[in-house]
Amino acid sequence: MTQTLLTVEHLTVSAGQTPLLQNLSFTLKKKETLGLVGESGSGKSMTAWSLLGLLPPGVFVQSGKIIFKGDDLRRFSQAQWRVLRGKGLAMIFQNPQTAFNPLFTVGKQMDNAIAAHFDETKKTRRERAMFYLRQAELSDSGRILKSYPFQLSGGMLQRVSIALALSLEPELLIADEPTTALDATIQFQILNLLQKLQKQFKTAMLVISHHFGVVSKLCTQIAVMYNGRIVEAGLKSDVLNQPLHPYTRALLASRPVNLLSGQTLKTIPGTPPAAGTVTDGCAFAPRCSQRFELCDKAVPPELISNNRRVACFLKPKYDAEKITD
Amino acid sequence: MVSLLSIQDVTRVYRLHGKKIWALKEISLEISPNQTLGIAGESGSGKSTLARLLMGLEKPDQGKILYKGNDLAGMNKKTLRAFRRHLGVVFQQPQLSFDPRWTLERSIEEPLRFIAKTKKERRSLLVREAAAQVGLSEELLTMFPQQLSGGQLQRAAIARALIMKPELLILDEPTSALDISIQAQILNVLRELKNKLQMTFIVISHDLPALSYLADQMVIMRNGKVVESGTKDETLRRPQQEYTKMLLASAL
Repeated sequence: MTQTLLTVEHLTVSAGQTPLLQNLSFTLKKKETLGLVGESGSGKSMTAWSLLGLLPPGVFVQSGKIIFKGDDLRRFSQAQWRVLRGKGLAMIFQNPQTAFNPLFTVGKQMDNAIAAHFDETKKTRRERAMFYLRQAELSDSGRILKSYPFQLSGGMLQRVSIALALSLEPELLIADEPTTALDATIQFQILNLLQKLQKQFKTAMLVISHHFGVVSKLCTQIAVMYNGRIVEAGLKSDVLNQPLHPYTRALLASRPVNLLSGQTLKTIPGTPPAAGTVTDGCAFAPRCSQRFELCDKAVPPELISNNRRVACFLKPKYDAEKITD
Repeated sequence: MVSLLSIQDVTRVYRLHGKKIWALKEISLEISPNQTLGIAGESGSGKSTLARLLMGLEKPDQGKILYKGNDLAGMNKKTLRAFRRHLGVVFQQPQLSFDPRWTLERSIEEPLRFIAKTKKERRSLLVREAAAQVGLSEELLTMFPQQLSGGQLQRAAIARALIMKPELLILDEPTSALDISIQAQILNVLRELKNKLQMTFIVISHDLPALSYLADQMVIMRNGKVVESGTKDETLRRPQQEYTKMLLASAL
């Protein structure tokens, strides 16, 4: 049995009276990779910030639990957080240009992070930094360490932030839109690198992206978020090949990559709700082609079977369809 | 076919700290009327520089850009203004393309007031017509940009670009800043317009799949040069250059 690393249970995060995450639950085992997919305002980044204890001012965990290796993170003191961040949970941000301090060399910043977590001599710390830079396929690691962030390209800097994150030997790596700010060919290289390193170091990974392509390249599990809730979750192959929730179906059908194969683009009418929108029924109902009366009246519960979770009243219907297929 | 725009050996050099940066190197392109040209490239490829030159916002250091045979660089303020009357532009960030103090209607009708000096009743009619064309509901016209989503604003930006019934519409990354489900909506709006209107479209994007949905002709740019150009089908099905193949393989 693989051990559970992270359990999020009925997590509700609010800004004042406005709920930003509602009743969010998921688990991540050691070495496992989970992708959170959603559009803006769906709460995917808010989830990452909750895990890191870095919620913006005025936003707080209202109820629920975040359990990392048996400890409830909600009870953590600042000192405990400081140990956990970096070594327990490390983060890769969307924009590498803003993730580094422009006034210090990359080497200095890596050294500071390593020194904060490892009782090592300066020489060993430097070797550690250089090792992980080489793992991130930055061959001239000596020169990289001496460089200031502005002297490196976006793709190289993202490699450095991956090296920095991994050099702390984290148990869970959180990557929030790790390639969104990069060019297409560089995006592809960085995804290949992350894939390789995840296999090599067996780090559990939580990947956050609006892009199904990114998530499906890196993760074995996928959860789809909408308006602060998980609407569908399961194994990547299940979610991609047999999406059950109408939102997942529509989102997959509207991916631009479908166009390369000459398919027409199906669109979802309307716009995703702003973060914190409160609805009586299913938040997706106003845009849903399958909607019926009940959808506007009650929030669909999460129905679980065969390792699939779907929050849609029509799940039994889809299950029946699947059987007849 | 006579070209609407002819780009002949155009070079554009920027100077940064005394160093020369070749944004465009001897580029030549012909853009036929009523065609949709897709320009694909990554950062630094020169695609946005090309867009600025086509809008007449900058002049090439070498070479010529001819609009119906007239050199843009040789135009004075008056003739340049006349040229821009036939040009519509849509930018990447709809939030930054609207005056926050104006209602959508006020923004969309601005070209009619400023350039065409259209009367009020007629303006109101034309604004509603343009809004309907891009699927922007009429009640949104009285709202301010801050009250609207990115997708709604991008529809409004397209409506504003169309209001003068231009011959040429330049779209610079029109969907890159939008959510996936909204990208799809805007792509469909653009595709519908392209099929319905007799107009020339130039769409610039790093998103090859999105371009392929709209373009008849494709140009792939890299480091200030055109590496490949041809019909959409040629470019996508039988790419000749390694770089084009790599771009296609990188599409997720």
